[in-house]
Amino acid sequence: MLRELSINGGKPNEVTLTRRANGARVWLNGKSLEAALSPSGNDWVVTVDGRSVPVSLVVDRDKVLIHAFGRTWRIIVEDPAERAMLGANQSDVAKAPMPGVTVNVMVAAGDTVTAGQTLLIIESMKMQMEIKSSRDGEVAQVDARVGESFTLGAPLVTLAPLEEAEA
Amino acid sequence: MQRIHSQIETSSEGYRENRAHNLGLAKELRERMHAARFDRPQRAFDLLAERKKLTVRARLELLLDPGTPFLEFSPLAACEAYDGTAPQAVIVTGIGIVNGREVVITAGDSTIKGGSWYPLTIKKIIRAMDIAIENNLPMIHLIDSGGAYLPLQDDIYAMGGAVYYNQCRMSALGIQQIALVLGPCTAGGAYLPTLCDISIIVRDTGFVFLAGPPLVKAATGQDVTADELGGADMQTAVSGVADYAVSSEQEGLALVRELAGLWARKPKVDIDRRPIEDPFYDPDELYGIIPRDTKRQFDMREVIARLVDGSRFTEFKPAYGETMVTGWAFILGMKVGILGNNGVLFSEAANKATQFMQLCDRDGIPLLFMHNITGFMVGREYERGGITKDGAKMLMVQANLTVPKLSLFVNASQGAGNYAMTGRAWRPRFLFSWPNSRSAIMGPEQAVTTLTQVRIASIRREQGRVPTPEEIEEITANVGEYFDRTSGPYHLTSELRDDGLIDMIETRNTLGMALSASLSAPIIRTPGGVLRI
Amino acid sequence: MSGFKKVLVANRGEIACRVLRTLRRLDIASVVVYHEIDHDSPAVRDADEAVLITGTPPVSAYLDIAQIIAAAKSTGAEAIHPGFGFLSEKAEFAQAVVDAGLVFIGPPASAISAMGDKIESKKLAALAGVTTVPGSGDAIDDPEEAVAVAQRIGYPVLLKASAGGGGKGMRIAHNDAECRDGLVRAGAEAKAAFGDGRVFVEKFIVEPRHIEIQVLADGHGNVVHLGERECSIQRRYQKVVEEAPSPFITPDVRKAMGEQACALARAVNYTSAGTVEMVVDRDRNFYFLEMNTRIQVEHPVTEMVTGVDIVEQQLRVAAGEALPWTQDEIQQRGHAIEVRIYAEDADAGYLPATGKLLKVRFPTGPHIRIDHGVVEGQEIGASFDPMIAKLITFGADRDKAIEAMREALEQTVVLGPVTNIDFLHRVVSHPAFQSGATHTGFLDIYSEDLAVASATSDQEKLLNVAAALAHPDFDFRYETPEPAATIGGWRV
Repeated sequence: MLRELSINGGKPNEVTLTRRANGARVWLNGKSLEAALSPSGNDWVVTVDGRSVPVSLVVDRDKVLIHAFGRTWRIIVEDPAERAMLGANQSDVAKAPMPGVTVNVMVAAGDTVTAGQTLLIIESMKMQMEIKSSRDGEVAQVDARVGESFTLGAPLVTLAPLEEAEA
Repeated sequence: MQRIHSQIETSSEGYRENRAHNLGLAKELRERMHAARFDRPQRAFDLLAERKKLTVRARLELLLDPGTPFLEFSPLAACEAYDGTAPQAVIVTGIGIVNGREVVITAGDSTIKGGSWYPLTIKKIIRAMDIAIENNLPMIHLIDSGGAYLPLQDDIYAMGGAVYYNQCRMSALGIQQIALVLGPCTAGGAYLPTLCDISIIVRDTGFVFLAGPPLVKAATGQDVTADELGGADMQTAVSGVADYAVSSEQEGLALVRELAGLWARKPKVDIDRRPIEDPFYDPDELYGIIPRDTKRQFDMREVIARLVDGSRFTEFKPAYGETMVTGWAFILGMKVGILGNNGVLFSEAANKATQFMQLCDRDGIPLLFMHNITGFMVGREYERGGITKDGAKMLMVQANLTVPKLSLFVNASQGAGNYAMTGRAWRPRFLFSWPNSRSAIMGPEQAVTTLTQVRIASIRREQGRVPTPEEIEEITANVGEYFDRTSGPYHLTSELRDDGLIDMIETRNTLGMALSASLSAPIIRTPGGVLRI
Repeated sequence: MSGFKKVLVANRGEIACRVLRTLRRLDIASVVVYHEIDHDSPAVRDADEAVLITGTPPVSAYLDIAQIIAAAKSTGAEAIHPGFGFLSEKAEFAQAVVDAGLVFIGPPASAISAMGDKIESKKLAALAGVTTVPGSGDAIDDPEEAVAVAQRIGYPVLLKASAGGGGKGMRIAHNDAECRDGLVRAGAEAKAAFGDGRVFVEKFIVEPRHIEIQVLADGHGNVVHLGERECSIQRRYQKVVEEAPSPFITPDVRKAMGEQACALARAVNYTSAGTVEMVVDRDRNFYFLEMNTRIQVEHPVTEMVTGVDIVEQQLRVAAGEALPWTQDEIQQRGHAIEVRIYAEDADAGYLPATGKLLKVRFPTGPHIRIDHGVVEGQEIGASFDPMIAKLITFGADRDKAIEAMREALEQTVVLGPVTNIDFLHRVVSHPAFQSGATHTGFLDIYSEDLAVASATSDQEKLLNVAAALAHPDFDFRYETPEPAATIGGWRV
């Protein structure tokens, strides 16, 4: 099970591992290391090639949040196979950059839009933002409704997928 | 436990000559294995890439747990058959670790003749299934085959039914099977995934149907696409013949892993285990120990010393029956009883072996047979001494052992000695051989001598004359050539008379994996046979 | 204390918990109002009684004067503490509380309205002898008049909305053209945002420091100040780091500022706690900005260096007591620094973050004070200001306070939404901060230095491994059996 891990939005690292009775062998970008993660009171101790460091960590779906070296880190764990499957459709969906409320919707299903055109206006934390279209296209679906609130990442407006040129 | 005291002088000329020779054999083995695994026309790889298919090896790497071993069986199957056009018998089989569980895997290789099944392919699959049954291991089939190789149908068809029969019996025996369909499964082949517990089809490249579009057209005139007939979506969503449809091989392999992870782990037979220790003597020295000349004797203890943990070996009854070495040791942490030949089998040696096997069987200790045997002792006094019945006792106990048996052809393994030491027909769980080994009904010289006599006698009888020296030479050459060829390790491994021809240096890992796998089947005590005392 | 038996706290989160703490210490029964969304909050749990208030969106509940007063009456609370924000500076609320026969723990409504209008408050300040920023005095709607004022007081000038706050309705002008244009734009923005388009012109102070004076006044004519706080490090006009005392001003300046602050308080018959905000230029000239007629977020740093519990003094004053000290008896000792921990991505435009607080562990120690109103497992939503906690450290001198702050930040664990903890650490570790070069341009000037540092390769290795071993994607339930584990990645 190969996964790509990226720290605080940095470049992805390829990781795979096998576990043993006390620890694991981890391959990080092809290099193998002996490692272990052991509980320590309310927290954890991570050991890599003999060096141990105390950490606090929490797993939150596809993220691991770690407090170590006096700092906070967010590591995203992605399955490249899954991402490849979903990747094709990402740019069609305009998603909420943060939680908030829809103030005004400028488009409806069937409208033709151009790249940069404002699709809707949202408000959050006493700030208003314009959500713009990332490309030319046709609006397939509008999920945002005036006065309704939404969460981070919620799809607001979806464009019709571009046709792939047939071979 | 006592450590074996090695007497090998690594600086001696004999050692160095042996080493050079055996290293040469090892090199030849590696080259032939590499060619069998990877030499394919570039067009074959291009075709795979076009269809977004992975090579057999790439699939295995995605299936197996990273950093875990894979014990491949008979990688050189069919290396001396079909003019070498079907390397590996078109299929890869072996034991690997998937989600922490030991699994028997079969994986078709469509870069050779579209993955068609040859007679030896069938044999290899059946052998893998036998291993799964005897050792109680689940199976994963990565199916990528074009179907039976029709020009050889006579040797395929009748025997081939055993593949499906075995699947049905395995299902009843509680042996799980998962199939990932990566190519067409046609006619009989359609049953391979369907008889599995779970089958997964990859869209666009995997198909399951009793007859493909050309056959259907020929039979009923119907025009239909492969996808409609037996594509992933139809067989999963409509007919229920298969269970999952996936869009890529990677997705399919990840799904197989996930499903394998749901199997309960098989409890292992509880045998004596210790922490793993490397041999005290370097296994690399094996190259210098095994003589270049098969007829030359060497002390089997020296070989044992380079295979067992810490080179520690508690010998049993060392002063009696000295041509049979018996004793206990640990290999990769697991206790085994070892029997090894140090010469011809005399009555005493056979009796000692029989006693030792009984002891190990009663105590649940698996046995390893290290072959270097040409046969039992012959001659009047030995016959009068009843050597045949002593041999019979050894055979009787060996055949009825309830503990796992492993066999290793260290050097020669011939005649009845091969039988006594658990040859192929005597159902060792696994049998491996070294590149220097030879096995036949008798040694070439004896065979040549005997057969030449027979031919000379028959010429005298039929033609009333003595054959000319040239004729004798010709007979000698023909017979010799035949025996040389059919007793050599490449021929034997090609015909699946063993589970793999291995480089000496890989023996520990090979035996360790094999032994661990064999412990997945419970040991069931059964009464022994009757001994002719 | 012969004061109140029961007080209602009309607020939520951190400040509600902070007020409740003092109420508990003084053995005064507490009531808190809460919106459904806050029903699991520590404030509700800590208060003796809690009354549900309603409103959509949730913030409107805490602005509902009628519901809050009704809650006080129904529970028999005698007084209401408004905290900060919400209704704390709404004169009509203060008046309504009084009209309902309850005590408002804060200044009289007249003082609130006097100081609530920037233009009016500036006039009053000038009358009280408080130095004000040179400017137009009154609102200006004629661009040419604005230019005339600007030329009189000298560029650069600030065109500032009277009703403005938080940076809205403000423009800087460096010349006549910008001045004309700025006047119009600031007015339009202020009209749209606050309904009041009045703009006045003011001198724009270069390298300004934001330094404020904490005042306390009782109903017996006593007014004292508790020294200053420096709050110069701000982003988008929101304070990020506050400290007491200021590393910049001298005792003389402190004395002068304090006297003027008290004069202003007297001029409006102020009672309770209040803060006079000033802007100080490079040469230590100070000018009145505005007066906040409430307790402020950053009050803890003053409490740490003076030993005074400001909330307690507010309660006593409201109960009719006289302040217990004269100005000379108030001493500042040591140094305190406060940082505000927010759920926001400080490295991505301070975008607010939401999410569950999956793990919270605040540091403890003799030099640390944490004021928070959160609990592990709580959802930080978009309904309210995303402040998670105030972290305050104290030291015998500024260097020690900074060191204690750096350590405390390193030990603060908040996992869940993105926070600004790492950013705060970079700020207080910056040499310019450590040397006291803190003015309001700090974050902009040093923005490159303050950019987030990537992990070292050693740290990366450890983090990747820890994440992999913790994450369920890595088939953590299985183990490789022996001898396969020892054999490793071997092939025949």
